[in-house]
Amino acid sequence: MRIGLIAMSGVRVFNPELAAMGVTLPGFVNRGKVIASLPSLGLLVVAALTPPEHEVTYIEIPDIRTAPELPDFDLVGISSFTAMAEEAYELADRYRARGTTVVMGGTHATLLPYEALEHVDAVVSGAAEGVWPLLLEDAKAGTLKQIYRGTNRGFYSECEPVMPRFDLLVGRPYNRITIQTSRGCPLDCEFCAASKIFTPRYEQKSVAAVEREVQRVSSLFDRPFLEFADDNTFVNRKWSEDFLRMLAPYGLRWFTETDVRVADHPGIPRLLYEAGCYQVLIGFESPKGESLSGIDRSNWKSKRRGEYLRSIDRLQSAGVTVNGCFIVGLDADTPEIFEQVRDFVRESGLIEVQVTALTPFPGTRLYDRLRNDGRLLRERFWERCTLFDVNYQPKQMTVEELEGGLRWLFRELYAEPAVNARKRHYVNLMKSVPRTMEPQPC
Amino acid sequence: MLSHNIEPRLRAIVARAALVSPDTIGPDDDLARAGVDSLSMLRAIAEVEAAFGVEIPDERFVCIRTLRTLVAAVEARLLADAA
Repeated sequence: MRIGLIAMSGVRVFNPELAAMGVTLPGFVNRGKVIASLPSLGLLVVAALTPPEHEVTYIEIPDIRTAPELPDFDLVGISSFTAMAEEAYELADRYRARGTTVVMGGTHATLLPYEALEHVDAVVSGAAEGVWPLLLEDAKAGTLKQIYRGTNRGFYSECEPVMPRFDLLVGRPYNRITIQTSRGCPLDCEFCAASKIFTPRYEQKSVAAVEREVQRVSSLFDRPFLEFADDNTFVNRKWSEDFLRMLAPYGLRWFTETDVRVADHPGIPRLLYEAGCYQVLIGFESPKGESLSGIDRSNWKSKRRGEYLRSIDRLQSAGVTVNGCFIVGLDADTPEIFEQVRDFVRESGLIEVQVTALTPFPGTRLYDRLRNDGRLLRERFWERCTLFDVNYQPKQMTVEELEGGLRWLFRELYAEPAVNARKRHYVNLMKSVPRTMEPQPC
Repeated sequence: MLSHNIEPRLRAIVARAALVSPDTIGPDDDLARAGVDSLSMLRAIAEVEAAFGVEIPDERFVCIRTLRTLVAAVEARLLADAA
């Protein structure tokens, strides 16, 4: 069969005022460009799971409305994120109208498989491992089932991790190549679907398995910038040290997401720098302790609030920039939260910052709670699940206050003077990083 | 005259910061396209400022897109400091 694996790429903002503002703010635009140009690692895994008798093509569609004529395939597999779900359905409808078999996977189809089945022939719920070859056999035999439930645990412990088809990306202009070292997150935050969609447990590849992927990517691309596509990379200290020591000799630059414990051990920031880590993204969520209360099941983030400033300083003083993420609109947030975030960013000296509106993605505990409390603004709002649009009634402010406060905060944090001040801070920090710590190209 | 002297040194610093070969950076090449991402550029600026004992004004260093504009920015500071 000719199989097309299609990713809906890009960043979405529904609110026109925010969208217009976003394109004028340098700090916003830069991260948006990076995210928009990341390949779909999930589809590269699906490609690797496809038996060689089939012909696989990987394509990305940034905008279905302006997409050129769609290529012909016998079967298409579409990856779905909630913000792009309606577009993915439109794409699926167009392919089905031609008689093409359409399969959908990814986070949104996993959370709402029956909704997706209104537009597709089959849904892969969860990871593709364990079901994709079977699905292809069924499709070939004309016996396709509606739902295929993939493996949701033991990805790395019970079998060798699948080597993604990185070769499908060769010749394309990616700023970063993604590699996954882990799935899930031990924190289980109320707003996050990562801990429940693909695995109820945190699972990590062996350092040797990650190294094989690093070697594969390094053999295909000239000095690639890696983005480790994890929800939380540095959970286990021993693994972290082994991983960083493995990575250092490759002389690569990379980015990843983790939590604040990465700075707990004084030696880790130095190892990060020496291994080529340019930036860690950390979900601080809020500078306000009360707002952090109840975010995760064990109140881990709330207990860690007192260490935020010290952790940022430890990492950045070692030359590793921190991209601090904050969510506004949490239940304890009042209209003062916007100034509180702005002030924390200034005080901490964070080199980069991301601010988003609390977003009730379907399938999360947050979604269920807000729905039960009658606080969702609409029944179906997937195109507004962008992290920048407001979809619920905040507890201690109006919707308009939250939207207006977010716009104000964007101007405060992402306008040129603020971005330039953060760049100057980084330059000054780097002057004091010992030269002996400089990572070396291999 | 001055730029002839400092350009190789600046090229070496930028290349080292971005982990790319100095040969891949021409005077008018777009540094981003040559593999010098924004953070690498800031690391290079830090090293340049430390090495030459200058501070490039913020409004100027954020606009550096080529090796030639970096040379010009450093030259301008050296000349200003010498005056």
